[in-house]
Amino acid sequence: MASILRVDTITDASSSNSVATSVLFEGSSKHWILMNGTGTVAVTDSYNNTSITDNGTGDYTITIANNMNTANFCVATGGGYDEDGSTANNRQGPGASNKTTTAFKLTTGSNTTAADDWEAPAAQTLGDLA
Amino acid sequence: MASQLKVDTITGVTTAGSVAVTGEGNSTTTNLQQGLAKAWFACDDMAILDSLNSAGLTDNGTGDLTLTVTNAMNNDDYSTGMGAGGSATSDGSMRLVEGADATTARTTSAIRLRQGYKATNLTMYDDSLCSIQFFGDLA
Repeated sequence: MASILRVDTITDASSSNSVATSVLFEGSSKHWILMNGTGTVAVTDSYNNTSITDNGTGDYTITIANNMNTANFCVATGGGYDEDGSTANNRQGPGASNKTTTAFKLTTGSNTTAADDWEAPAAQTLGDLA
Repeated sequence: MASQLKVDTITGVTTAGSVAVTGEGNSTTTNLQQGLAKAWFACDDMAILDSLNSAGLTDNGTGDLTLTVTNAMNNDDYSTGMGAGGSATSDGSMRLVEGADATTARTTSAIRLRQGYKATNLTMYDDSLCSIQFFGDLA
């Protein structure tokens, strides 16, 4: 049977490490994604992600399933331009912008100022859920 | 009244690897396990400063490093966050990118990275702070 536990602090049995549940929740990623950003874009793996949209070269919209509370969430980014690294020279991005409570843009670039598709861009979202 | 739970392991009742927690806005829940970083590394000059679930760093050459985790991921589709900075170079525009050669793709337990600063192409460089986090499913 499913059960709910209401508690303010979680401590290990030896009482040597404790964390407020609010810190645990605030520090957890509320959404993450690894995607294929070339050709027909696709989600490789994700959590709390509804869909991705290809807006053009190096320009993707990431849509979150359960909304964030505000648009002021933090997005960490990573991944790779070339998944096997064979041409992994200096690349710009990924950058995150146009944030709303349900979506944000992920943009990837080349080794100049030009936009470029990446094979495997990644992002994680931290902040408050609605 | 404030309450405190003393426990070493939290396990879901319906599904052992799934514990829902109520979000900050009190209207939705999020999955505790999915939201946790499964590994993270803070490195400087090809040495690990601090980490979680780390099995070590391999120095493959200037600006070329492999990070290995102790408890493997469930597959190689994990999401990574990464950043670099603190370079002493005049350029100061540090980058951390995945991949180093055509034969070293990521695995469930290791990822190979290039670290360097902006030039026409990436100029490989050791002495820089770098951070990387792994999000995804543990094996």
